[in-house]
Amino acid sequence: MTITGYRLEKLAQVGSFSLLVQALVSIALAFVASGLLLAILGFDPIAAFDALRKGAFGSWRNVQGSLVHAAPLAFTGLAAAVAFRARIWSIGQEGQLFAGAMMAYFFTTFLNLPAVIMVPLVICAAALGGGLMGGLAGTLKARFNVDVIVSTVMLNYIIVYLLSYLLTSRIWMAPGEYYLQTDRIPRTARLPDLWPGAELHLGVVLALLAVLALHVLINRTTFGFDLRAFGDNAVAARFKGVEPKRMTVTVLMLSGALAGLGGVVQSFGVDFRLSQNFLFGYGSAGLIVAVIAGLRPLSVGLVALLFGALAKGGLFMQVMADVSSAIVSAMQAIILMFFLITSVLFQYRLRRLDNDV
Amino acid sequence: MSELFSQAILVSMFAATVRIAAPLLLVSIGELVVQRAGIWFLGVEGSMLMAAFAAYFASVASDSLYVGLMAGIGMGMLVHLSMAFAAVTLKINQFVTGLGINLLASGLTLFLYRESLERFDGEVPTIIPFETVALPGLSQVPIIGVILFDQHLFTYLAFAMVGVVWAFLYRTRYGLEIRALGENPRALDTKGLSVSGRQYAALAFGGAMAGLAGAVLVLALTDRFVPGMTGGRGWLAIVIIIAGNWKPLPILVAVLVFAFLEAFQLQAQGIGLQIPYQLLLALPYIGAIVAMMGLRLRSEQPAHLGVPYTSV
Repeated sequence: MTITGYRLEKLAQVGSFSLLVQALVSIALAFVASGLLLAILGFDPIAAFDALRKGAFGSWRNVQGSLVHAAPLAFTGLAAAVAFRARIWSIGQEGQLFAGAMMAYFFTTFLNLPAVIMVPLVICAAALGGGLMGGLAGTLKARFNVDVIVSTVMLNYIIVYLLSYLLTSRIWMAPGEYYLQTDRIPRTARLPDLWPGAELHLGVVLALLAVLALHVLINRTTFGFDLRAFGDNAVAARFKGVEPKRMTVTVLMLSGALAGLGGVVQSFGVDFRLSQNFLFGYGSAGLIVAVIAGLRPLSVGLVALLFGALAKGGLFMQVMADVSSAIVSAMQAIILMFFLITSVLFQYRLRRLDNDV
Repeated sequence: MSELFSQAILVSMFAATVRIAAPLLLVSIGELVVQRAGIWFLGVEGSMLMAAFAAYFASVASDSLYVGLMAGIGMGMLVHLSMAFAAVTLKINQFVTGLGINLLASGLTLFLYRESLERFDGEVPTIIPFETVALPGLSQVPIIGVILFDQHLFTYLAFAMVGVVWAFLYRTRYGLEIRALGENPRALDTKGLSVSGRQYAALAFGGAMAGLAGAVLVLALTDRFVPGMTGGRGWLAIVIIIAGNWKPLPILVAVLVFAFLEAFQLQAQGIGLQIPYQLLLALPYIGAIVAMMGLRLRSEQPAHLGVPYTSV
């Protein structure tokens, strides 16, 4: 394709900088689109988005709130990024999030030890719960060739029905409790606040550590190299000794463990109880975070921050501007769609022809 | 347990199976054509949900079920065609685009539903759903008549579509071309036939079917829109296609099995069977995984499923 004096070239790989620009453009476009939607519905979009901004960044307390909202998204984002990097299309983050929180809660139902033991225990339990759930999908693929997309979607439904059963059968519900939710999690098992009266809790630190750890794991270790090689070309990687079945199970367990940690961070750091729908949406938001971050762990951290701010601000906007906070999940999806569409444009570069007139 | 197997209960359970099968069958048959054309569209759930939403609000606004029906079909086609634009024209990753469509549909419909609640003072109005049409003569046949021939018009249509799509795919030139698209699009291209045109057409058909399925869900099987009311049926359609090995008749069988599981679940809850109802609700999903575990062979999976086609 030739425009006078310039040629449109397709790039082999999109650089970090243009990825950032692309993300910012998509976000801006998403704000314009959802602003139009709000205007059509009779809201004042400027006032609504101003409330959103104040809710997210208006005070130090709100900033902390945004960080707290970002923590589980960073985990589910990392979970999706790890799987997608290996080209394993797992959509199981939501179910693994539940599995992690449920496994952690399970330990609190019969153990009551000092916080020094309880807190690390519930964190490990969550990684185990999510990891087993991911490992199940991995085994189904490796042993029975069950499509990962399908099995993870089905498992997402199944695990929520299991929680629902544990609640309605009152196994996990106090007698006389009206809402479908567990008892409050004992204080010793909760993720502690970083300082007295802080919004920030241990989970935010864990999220930061996970982002850094995954960055190192994927970019600086042999396993990370194998994983990327497997994702780029599974056949070629096999010749180098990467066993595909084992890789699939390992990656899905790792991805599941990360999602499971997201579950414990939200339920043991913020909600202090489990209910059927408290954790809905974190899995799908994590998918979007991972894609927009270009599946890079450090960028996942950044995008999670932004989405956390959006979630925190959305709650404030609901109170101040009377706009349902459900707009936030719509906006997240709109950002993703714009990101996908603009990715086509950012694959190309205009190059000046040498022999131009 | 014995109560479950009395004749009246069995008859109503099988009638429910046929009723429940209709939207599932419509969406699966539509998705079959889409996948045969080489498009791996995971956004059917979202397409159905948007269609159900459009069908409900259009019929409330116009006070006509038929307007709602048209709106549902139109919305399904719109969503599917936006996938066509993304996957066929822009060649964006089909997996991520399909997911994005699902997320957009669930977020958008939830938001708009919440906003509409405020306008309707906290409760959306109900509609008077389509009634069943008893076929004269046939519906009088004992047992079979009630099960098969006292159903919605859409149900008859859904079952008829299995035959129509089978005949189309295997007995017409266009059907052969659609099947060739999924296997070897280059073959069509070198013959000078438009690959993208046919993929757009396949998605338009799939959209009309998914839209109809969403509309049936809200206009015939319930009386109002509820957020997330498709409840995984779009995903189940994808499982059904894999379980049915991309062939119309096995797909019909798979649909009936899943519909029966759901009908059984409803019936068991109705007569207070002492099984946790969540286990029954989870049955179709567990069944789906088990069904796929047994499928070692994927002989009919289109070779070019999900691979964007670029002409040289």
